[in-house]
Amino acid sequence: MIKSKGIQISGLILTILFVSMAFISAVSAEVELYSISEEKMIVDDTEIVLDPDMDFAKLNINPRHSRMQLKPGSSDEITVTVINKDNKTITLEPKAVASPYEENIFDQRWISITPASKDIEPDAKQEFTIKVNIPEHADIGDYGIEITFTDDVLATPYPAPYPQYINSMHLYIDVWTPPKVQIQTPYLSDRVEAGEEYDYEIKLKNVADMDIAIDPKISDNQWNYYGPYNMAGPAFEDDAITITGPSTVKAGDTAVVNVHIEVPDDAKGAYNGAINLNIDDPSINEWEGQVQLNFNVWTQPDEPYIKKFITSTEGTITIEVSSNEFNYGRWMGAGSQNEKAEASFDVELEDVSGKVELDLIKTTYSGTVTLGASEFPPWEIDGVGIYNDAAEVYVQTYEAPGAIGEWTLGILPVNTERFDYSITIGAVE
Amino acid sequence: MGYLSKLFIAALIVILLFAAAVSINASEKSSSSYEFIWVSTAPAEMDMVETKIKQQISPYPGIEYDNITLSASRENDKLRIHAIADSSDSRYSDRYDFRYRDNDLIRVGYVLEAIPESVRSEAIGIAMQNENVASVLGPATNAYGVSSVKQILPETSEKFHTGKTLISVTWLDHSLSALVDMDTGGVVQMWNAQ
Repeated sequence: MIKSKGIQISGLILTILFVSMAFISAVSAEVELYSISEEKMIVDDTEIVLDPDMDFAKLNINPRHSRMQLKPGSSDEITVTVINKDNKTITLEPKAVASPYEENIFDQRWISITPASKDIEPDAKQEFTIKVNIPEHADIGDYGIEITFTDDVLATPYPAPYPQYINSMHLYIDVWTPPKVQIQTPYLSDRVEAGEEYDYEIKLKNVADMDIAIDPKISDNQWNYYGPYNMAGPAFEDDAITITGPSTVKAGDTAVVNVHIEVPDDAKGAYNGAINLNIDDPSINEWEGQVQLNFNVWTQPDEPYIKKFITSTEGTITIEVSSNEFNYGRWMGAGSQNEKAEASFDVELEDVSGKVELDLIKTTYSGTVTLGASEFPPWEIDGVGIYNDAAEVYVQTYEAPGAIGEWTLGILPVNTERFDYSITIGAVE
Repeated sequence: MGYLSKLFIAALIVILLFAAAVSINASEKSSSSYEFIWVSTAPAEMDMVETKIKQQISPYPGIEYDNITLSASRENDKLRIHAIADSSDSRYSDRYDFRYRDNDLIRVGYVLEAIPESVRSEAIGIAMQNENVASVLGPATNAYGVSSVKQILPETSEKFHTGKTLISVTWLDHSLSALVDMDTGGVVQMWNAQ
């Protein structure tokens, strides 16, 4: 009995230690400065919950996050509902607290909250109207502000520069103006062959009444496109891409930026990146002022794939070759500005005496379309019942008179990265 | 009723009519410039359906629809409407399913892929930088070429994170998806059916 208790207590202590360590590392990984005090945590089975003795107002706040898009000189408002889930009356005094992590610091004079204060009984509901007025002189960009309803903050074991409010909601405000330059070519996406050269155009229309400077350059932030965990890197270096164009887009005109790509002979994989147009227009942020680049490099083989086989009957030989690609990359040139090239195959058959004539008896286009939820994540459940292309298949079927002996099948795929084949001797069902 | 009262009522009616006219005019001016195209025979309730669809569509910020193609089929007193919204701002379209009955239009489904290229790339980039996503994809995957990027509306998002617009980045061939919060630049949920 004692031994059993000892095991339980030591197990509990170990559990607390492990869970605490995991929790501390998880918290510190995301937010370096804040950590919930270990003393304020208890372990309830496998879940970590806040100590019920920790004194803070229990409120249900809806929504916890909201977003507004406003032009300078305009205003908007949202309603936030707060329900008192505590067992005592709580005084709510909503305040706007600037968020230190946003692109721009929000001026608290731009916001008003009504009512300014309210006592709410247990289980009672109170709506607050938050009105945002963006002045004419406001900078374009993202702003964030926290609306706190009480002064309750998370306890931290050491002083923190910014309090972490418990009863708060976050309001994101995107202050924008319509861009003066319209990027009429928002992306360049193509499948390119190693050793080949390609030319593309990016069209920019200036809808303002003044000339606007541009300075297109390859974005130097490759990390954004390959991430810290992708070891493959780009298929070719930035210097394979040459960008030429004017330094300004004249008022009312459409300018063309030319992009020339020389794909190296040894290129393999994909190049993902962006051209930063550096448009001198504050209404266009860095991401919006980019033309995304997505080039998949592949090498068209010169020699066919060879498959040798032996037949022991004189039954007709039926050969089926198919490409089967998932949606979004289904045919060569998908999403390309160039003409879409569809998959095909050059198929040859030889016996010991030489080339045998193949009869193309059937060409089939087929696909997989899903209406169900099983192949998609749960948050795409609202797409159930709407057609989703999952895959497309192209099949060529050939026939040749059969004979006993050795055969060589050659398949040269064109405009497809993968293919399946089957060889049937005798009657085909 | 005195002469002044009649005058007051008449003036009130004129003011109300004027206000209504201004309101209708303002409503027309604020409406988007896209046009509706019916591929099947337009139903008798066409005007009401179009008005209500305008209130329920959700183009992603930065996307303006050029046209919305509608097809409808009737099932007893219910109208099933499928809408495809195209925009020159995106190579992909938004698709909605609606049901219309008794002057009430309900959005019953959506696949929203019309998203600005910059947002698409940023969302894929955020998803790829998640260690769990990267480990499933593997280093050789062309993550940009074969992923789908969809807008997830707040009413769906609140079941998985919080009631705000999120982005779903899905690699169907890996049965992998990441739910991305563009405001915080993080992956809030991951799904892997393999």
